[in-house]
Amino acid sequence: MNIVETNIPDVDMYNISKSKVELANRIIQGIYPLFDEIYSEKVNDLDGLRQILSNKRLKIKDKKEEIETLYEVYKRKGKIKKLLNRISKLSKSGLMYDGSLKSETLMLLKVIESLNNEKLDFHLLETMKTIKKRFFQ
Amino acid sequence: MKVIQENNSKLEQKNNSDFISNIINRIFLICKNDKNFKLKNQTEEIEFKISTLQKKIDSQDKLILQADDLYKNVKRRVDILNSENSELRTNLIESLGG
Repeated sequence: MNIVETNIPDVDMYNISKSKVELANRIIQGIYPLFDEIYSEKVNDLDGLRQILSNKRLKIKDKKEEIETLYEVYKRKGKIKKLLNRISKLSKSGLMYDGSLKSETLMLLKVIESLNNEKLDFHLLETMKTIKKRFFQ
Repeated sequence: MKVIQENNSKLEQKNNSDFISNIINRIFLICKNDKNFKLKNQTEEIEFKISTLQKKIDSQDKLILQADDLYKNVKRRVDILNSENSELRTNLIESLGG
């Protein structure tokens, strides 16, 4: 244990309140620069959070694009299913025994997965016309 | 003024360092509520910004989770459709003698 002489003023034994204020002021003077450090850390935290938010926004944008792309695939597969069901209905009704229609349908079935949306819509319309002719006239 | 200085080991110095850091943080928490504190306004402003950003980040995290769920859901539906379509197509080709 050492006894060290410091530059802290001696306590005025006759005016304790004044001594307390003086001591508090000296502590505050010593501590204020440290407050600046705390404030700087908060500024750094803020910058870090801004960067995190920016990254998350980009991530959400990417995810939105992924979902939109996948939803287009889903809609396309739905159209293909609808077309296959119509072809199945026509086949079960016996309409496919006609030679040319049968070979055209077989060709369509082989390439159905690679048809673009316009072609799918066209065939959906055509099969619907045939079904209406067959079942509703 | 003379003060008594204890002989500190390294561990005690480290503990003292943590202790001082804690004390300073506590003093800061008290001082920031003092209307005369020089960093009061800046501190309030930056803490408000941090809180707002944190809320936005939390909200974005929720959105990312929802997006992941939605993606998985659509992917599952696409897989089901693929499987059904493939089976139906094969059956049709067989029934038409292809």
